[in-house]
Amino acid sequence: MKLERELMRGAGPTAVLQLLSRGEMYGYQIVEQLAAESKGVFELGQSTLYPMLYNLEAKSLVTSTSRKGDNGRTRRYYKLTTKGKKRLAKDREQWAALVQGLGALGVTRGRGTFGDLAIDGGQ
Amino acid sequence: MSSVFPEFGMQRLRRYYDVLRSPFSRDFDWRRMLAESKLPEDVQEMITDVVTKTRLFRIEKTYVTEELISHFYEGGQRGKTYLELLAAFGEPEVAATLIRSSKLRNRSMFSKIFYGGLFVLLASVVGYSVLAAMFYMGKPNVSVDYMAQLNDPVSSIDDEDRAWLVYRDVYAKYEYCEGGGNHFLEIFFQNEGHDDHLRLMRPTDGEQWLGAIKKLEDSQELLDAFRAGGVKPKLGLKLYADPNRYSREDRLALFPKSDPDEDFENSFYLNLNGMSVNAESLLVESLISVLLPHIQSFRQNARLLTVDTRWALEQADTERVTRNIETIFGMGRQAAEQPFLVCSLVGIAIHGMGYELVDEVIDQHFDLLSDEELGRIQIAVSKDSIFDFVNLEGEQAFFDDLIQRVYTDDGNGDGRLTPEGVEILMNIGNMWGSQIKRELEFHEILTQKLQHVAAPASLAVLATRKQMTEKADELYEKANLRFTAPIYAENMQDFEDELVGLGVKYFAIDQCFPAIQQVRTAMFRTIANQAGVTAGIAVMRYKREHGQFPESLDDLLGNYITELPIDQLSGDPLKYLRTEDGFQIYSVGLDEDDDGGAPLMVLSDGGSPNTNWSEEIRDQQDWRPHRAAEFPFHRFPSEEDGDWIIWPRYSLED
Repeated sequence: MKLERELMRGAGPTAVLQLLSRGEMYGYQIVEQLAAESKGVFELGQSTLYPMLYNLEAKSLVTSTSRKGDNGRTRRYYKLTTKGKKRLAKDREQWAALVQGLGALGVTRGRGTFGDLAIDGGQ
Repeated sequence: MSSVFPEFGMQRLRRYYDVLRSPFSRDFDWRRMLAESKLPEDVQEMITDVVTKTRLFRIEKTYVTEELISHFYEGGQRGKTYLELLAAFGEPEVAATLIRSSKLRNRSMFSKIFYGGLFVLLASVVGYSVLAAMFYMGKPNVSVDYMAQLNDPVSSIDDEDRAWLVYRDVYAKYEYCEGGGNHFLEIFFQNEGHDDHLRLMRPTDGEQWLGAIKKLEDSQELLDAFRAGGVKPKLGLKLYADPNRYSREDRLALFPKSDPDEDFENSFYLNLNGMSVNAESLLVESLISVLLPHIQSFRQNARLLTVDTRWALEQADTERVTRNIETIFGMGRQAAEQPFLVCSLVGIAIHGMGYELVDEVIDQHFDLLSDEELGRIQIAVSKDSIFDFVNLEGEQAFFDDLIQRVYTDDGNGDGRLTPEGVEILMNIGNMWGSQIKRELEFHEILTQKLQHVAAPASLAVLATRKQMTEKADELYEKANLRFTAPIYAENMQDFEDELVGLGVKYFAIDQCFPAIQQVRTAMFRTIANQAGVTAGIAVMRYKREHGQFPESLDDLLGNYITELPIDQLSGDPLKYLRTEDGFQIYSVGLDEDDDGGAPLMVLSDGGSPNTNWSEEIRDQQDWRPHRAAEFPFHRFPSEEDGDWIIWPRYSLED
């Protein structure tokens, strides 16, 4: 299942920050991981991902460096900044509250879909 | 480009370095980078499409290209086909738009300020270039001959009625214009050590008076011509900005120092320093450039006639006295007939000189004059309406003529300022200065060069032709409606304030609009003089017939005057006061306070006024009755007191 555009706009950056909280990644790697780990929910069009990364960088939540990867090609690696980490912690709290609220209303059936974003599911 | 740098410090420096060299360095040739990526052609095309549409800086495009190459390469490595990757990428337009907006956010504040400033600068340069092109392409279109319009009434005057035809030959013979007045210094009393206090000669001036008489004897032809021309109803001289357009006879009379067979360079007189040929040509043909040497000479005529009148009184030649007085007023009228305000003011000034002379003649030589002569003098004094002397029509034509020479003409009453126009406006101030054309100093040349660069900005600063003419029309309409209102009823301060507040937008009006208040001052002072002197003559005629002075001016009504003379400062009738040896007619003055006929005065040392004056003190004071009607009232609220004595008058020359 894919998310609606508006939902993706709100959840996408948090999902990317969450991925980067594990360590630095390059663009295609983020696309791949998001799609795989979210079971297709965050299957981002690349035209969305890169602008999202640039926006996060503009907000100083992530930083990037360009260097050659193990395949010999130049890659741009993104990693979380301190500010990004704080922002992620805050986002996670908010998403957890949202999930709980939606759960209480009977909109969601539990933690499964958003498990990785739950407070106790982080790093 | 892709070297590894520490996160901060060196990396940041490297980034700045890259920003600086990116526009020129081959390392930031993203198209080359894409070509060398060995990605399939359709992928390269898509990346090119996206990157081009981002419209980012070269360095930013390079980073995006690098990232997208990496993306497709990595995808290919993971076993995806390029078709799948292209499909997953989405619409290039959307990608380009999103990438652009996110990259713009990513720019540093320094970058935003720098490039923003650069953009503003470039936009300004382009905008100013367009403005400059418009400005330098603009050419004025002189379509109306205002001089011909103003000269039109002269065409219908019969030669019999034209005084100029009488004056012309003697003007040429005596080289009377262009400084010719200096040939008559003998009529001024030379007070050694007081060169700045010249006055006209009097019979009591001993040897110097004899010298003045000699000069008058030598000038009989001139004086006879004045008397013959002074009684003509009109001056009848057409004016031209270009002196070469005058007839040979007129030119000899008006410009005796120039060779009538040679081209007359008007620009020499106008002090047109460093103007372009086009601007100079426009200016010398404008109404601004009309030279009026004969008008200035009219003052000199009145002076000569005044001294000749004193000589005539000595000779008991009262017919000549009367004719001289009639001539002076006739010349005042003829001067004011010319269409410019300066001519009106000269006419008013000549009438003022006439009133002084009449006062002197009647106050001191009354018994010499016959009833018939007295009647003629009273008619000469009272016949002119001073209001008729002042007409703003010529001034408005003067302004409209200027406008058509400094603005373009779109055919609908609008237009923009031209390069020649800016030059003309800048030089108007200089025109009233020295008549000596100077060589330009270096800094002046530099200033002029800078003016050429800055001149197009005037398009943005100064009013358009339509705005300028509409504002001028509005002001002239107001002035025409209000400037003849009595001073006691209308001080026009709000109008003055409006003129002062015009600002640079209406620079042309600011420079050219006539000084209405000064004109009103002169006009009403002269009207008050006229009323007072007319009443004074009537009082003297009453005394001749009744053997005593009237008790009040009311006694004169009917046989001697038709209405009571009005004080232009208060609106009430002028005051009449019997004195020990005669009478006084006076205005209550600026403070509108009747001080019982005590003269207006200001102490020489600037101290407080003393209204309990005596003969002894009077001789030590700086008598300035002429200031009584000066504007604005409030300027001298505490420094002056007393009344303005119109009859008998105390000559300003003494």
